[in-house]
Amino acid sequence: MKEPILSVRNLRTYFYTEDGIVKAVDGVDFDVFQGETLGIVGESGCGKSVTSLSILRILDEKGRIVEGSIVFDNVDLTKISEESMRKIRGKDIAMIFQEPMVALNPVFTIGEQIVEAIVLHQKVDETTAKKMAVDLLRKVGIPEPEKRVDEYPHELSGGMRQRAMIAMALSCKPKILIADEPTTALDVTIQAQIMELMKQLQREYGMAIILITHDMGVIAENADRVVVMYAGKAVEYTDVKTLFNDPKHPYTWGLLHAIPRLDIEQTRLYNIPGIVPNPLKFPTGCKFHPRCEFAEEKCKSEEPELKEVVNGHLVRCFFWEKVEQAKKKEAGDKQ
Amino acid sequence: MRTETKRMIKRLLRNPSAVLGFSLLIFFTVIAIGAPLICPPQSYDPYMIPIVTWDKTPQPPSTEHPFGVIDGRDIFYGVIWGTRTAFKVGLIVTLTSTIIGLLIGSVAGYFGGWLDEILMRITDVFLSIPYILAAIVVTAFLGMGLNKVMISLIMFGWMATARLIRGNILQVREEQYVLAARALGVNDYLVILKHVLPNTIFPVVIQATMRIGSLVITAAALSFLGLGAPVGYADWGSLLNFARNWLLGASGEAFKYWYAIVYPGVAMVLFVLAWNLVGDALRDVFDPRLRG
Amino acid sequence: MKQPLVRIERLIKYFPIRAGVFKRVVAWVKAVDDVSFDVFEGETVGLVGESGCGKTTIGMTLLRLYEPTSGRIIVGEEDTTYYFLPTTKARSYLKRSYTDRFQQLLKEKGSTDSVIDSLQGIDRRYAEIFFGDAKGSASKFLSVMLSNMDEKRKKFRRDLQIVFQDPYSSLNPRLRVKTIVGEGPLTHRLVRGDKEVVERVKAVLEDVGISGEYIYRFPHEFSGGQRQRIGVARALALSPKLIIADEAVAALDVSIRSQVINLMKDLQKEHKLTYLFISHDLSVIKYVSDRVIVMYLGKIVESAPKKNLFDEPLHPYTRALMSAIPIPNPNIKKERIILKGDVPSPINPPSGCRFHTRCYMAVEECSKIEPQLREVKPDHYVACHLVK
Repeated sequence: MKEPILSVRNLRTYFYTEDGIVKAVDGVDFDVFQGETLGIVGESGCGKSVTSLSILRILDEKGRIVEGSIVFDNVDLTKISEESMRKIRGKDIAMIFQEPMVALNPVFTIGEQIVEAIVLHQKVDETTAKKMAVDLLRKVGIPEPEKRVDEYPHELSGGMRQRAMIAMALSCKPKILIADEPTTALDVTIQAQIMELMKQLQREYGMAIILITHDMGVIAENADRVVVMYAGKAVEYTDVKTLFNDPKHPYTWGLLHAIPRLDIEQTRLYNIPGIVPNPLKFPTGCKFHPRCEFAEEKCKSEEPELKEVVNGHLVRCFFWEKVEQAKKKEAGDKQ
Repeated sequence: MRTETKRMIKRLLRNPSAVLGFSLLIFFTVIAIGAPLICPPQSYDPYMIPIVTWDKTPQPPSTEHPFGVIDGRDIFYGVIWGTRTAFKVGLIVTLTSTIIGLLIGSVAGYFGGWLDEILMRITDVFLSIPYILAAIVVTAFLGMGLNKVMISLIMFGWMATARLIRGNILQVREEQYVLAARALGVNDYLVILKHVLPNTIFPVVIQATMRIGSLVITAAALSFLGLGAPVGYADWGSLLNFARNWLLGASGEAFKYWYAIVYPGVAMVLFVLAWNLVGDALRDVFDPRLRG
Repeated sequence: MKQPLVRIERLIKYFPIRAGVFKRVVAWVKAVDDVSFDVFEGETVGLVGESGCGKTTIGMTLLRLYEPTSGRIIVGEEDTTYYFLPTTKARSYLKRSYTDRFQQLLKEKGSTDSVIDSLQGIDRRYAEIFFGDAKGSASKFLSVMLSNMDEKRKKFRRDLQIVFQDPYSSLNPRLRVKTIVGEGPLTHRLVRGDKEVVERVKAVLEDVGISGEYIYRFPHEFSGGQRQRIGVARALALSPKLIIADEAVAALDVSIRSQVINLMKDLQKEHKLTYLFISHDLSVIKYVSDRVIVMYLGKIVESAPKKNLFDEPLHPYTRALMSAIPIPNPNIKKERIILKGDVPSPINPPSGCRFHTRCYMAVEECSKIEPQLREVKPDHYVACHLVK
């Protein structure tokens, strides 16, 4: 069997705020394999972004990883010193963000920022680094890279800025690229360009990608494996085809029926009742039970574990078989 | 909202400088209100410091005159009643100039276009004249007296507010709830009053609070130059004006007349400090960026 | 023929860019450039396009939160274009659009009847007033048109409402729900006194699925989805005919989005509402709309009933847009059209067809001649030289 290059087990990251403890990530497990894309999908406040920040250990001063392990290259990242972590950040594991304008420093040119990233982790002089920067910009599809390298972030369009961010992240040939909602701020046609570019670069560099998004479509088209998160917890984890063809958690199942789709005719969208829970007041028992149509008494008090129910398919639900029945009924309705 | 208010108060109480600021302010308010009880007035105009001796040399603190005597007048009386003057000058000038600034700034910001252009150019002209200099010239032109000082301070004190409120309005005007109110058919003045101003007013309140303190200094400076209150008026600046001739002390005793400077001076410093601390505290509470 | 509820005719909206000391206009942002369409009673028209295509500007101009640069906005049987103009501008608009034209026509045709016969729709109606009640006098016609302006404006505001995108900035944070939702009915005197306001607000809130107990709460005490429902309630409180939903569900979480979309569909049935649904998201547009208008850089490129558009998109841009939407189904491997480059700036839109710089089918003609929107199949309009 293939060895994962990153494996996260039982990760828990809490924030100690004035208003109480926010259990932003409260039990997440997954493996990332070389050359593959792991998708993390969920709604706002589900902890998907905090998961990625925990891997890089760039939480703010209120946040702490309280439990679990993040093993990268046989090293547990939660245990190593800040200095060793700094060597991994940007070099082995790089990250791109939703809004490149925030992540890029407005007072330096694109070139200066890429050169800085290169010089930080590689033993090259500035002239070589600048040449490498131009090559990178060409590689990510920025036209006239020799000219663009001396421009400031605000002179580029949103799509071009995201390309520049990717160039910067790729400067040290990372083994893992974390992409946190990389296309959410972009127009659809630009989003398609960027996702295409990421796929092509992934093939070329053989890197693993952790793709964080709220968009089920982006997941379906780009991920190999998927973690579905709800209220800080991984509720379902399997490969992408199984997830979409055979979702077993009531939340995943509901979500797939709640989104308007281009590929099928829908008479009415499925209603997941209630609201996305506030991280300060997560419900007891199964975090999804107040919104779940299959919930029973047990779900209110007891917390289900993330368990393997079928080969390689992990689900956090006591009554996942009920979803099976709902699916059968649905299939029956169609005939 | 109740929980919100509770949180605000909690936040204020946790901040020692806010507590100090509010305590000082309460202290000064009590003194200003209680002035007739602390120092019963002795003439028709309670604001005129009674003359206790015709000897012009300062006299050190004594049981009868706890802060000493300067220019034949009781410093204690002057400091106590001067608190009222400070409040009067600070509040009236700030309130009036803020209202003027609010009117000009909100009209300019909400309606925009050429009206904005004209009003803002006028603001620029006023801003380009150095504040103290302008106040001196206008006071000299209008004639001496505390009211004239206040008029000149108002005339040259509204521009910062106008600019601030205009900037805020430009921002809030594009908020969707303002557009929604216009789409409901609410008339322009009500939109300003109900939707725009309440959401832009807090920075102005904070700015005004801080200005009250500094205005008292400016007014004192004018009094110190002899342009402000008439001779003998209970005003901290005028007390300092008396002390001007005795600043150097006597030969061999540089600090002989310290009381002439220290008492009104400390009163003034604490007064300015109080407003600044309160302003800071309000900023902490109201600035949404600092809200957790 | 059915009478449209709203008809937009040759609408143009340019925004000036000013620079220098004297704030001279140095350029124009051509946000909406010659757009016409109808919205019929009871239907949902989806307006879709990427950022900068002018879809939001159309909504705002329709509501007169922006004044149009030119064009006509007809609501029901009235030309509403001059409703919110200062009197002098309103007069010159009416003279230009009607009286001068009618007098000119009279000279050409000779008789008032033949002028009236040559006109249709609203022009005909106004010509009848001009030659009838106003007896051909421009000033009489103007005074008829400019009478009861307050009433007219109020009716316009009641009939057309909007729901905004951002559930956070669309509600005034300092007002209680009662005040927010009650403001419209109070302004229009649909209710009087506190008791009636409370009743009305409670009724509307329950309509959108929020308990009437919450009327004394502030916006920050609600979740994003609930706030969006309150935004819908505010619009609904005036019993409007048309609601413009400007990216009304874009900022919501997936599970909440479906709730609000379902709610809006239910409300449409219940209250016989008409929607102009503005969105960048084709999947949402497909689900809610009866008819879809696709825009690119201030122009309509394609417009058709939903089924026709999604079954057979004709304009190359529509096809690219459709192929760019990620499908939540890993079994489908579809052909993807990746467009080159970015959307050009609406300050200097490309010559000819505005899409030609990114089009994968463009020929020389496209950069020179601007294609007109034409009906290539029944009810299916496309602006492209290459679609036969």
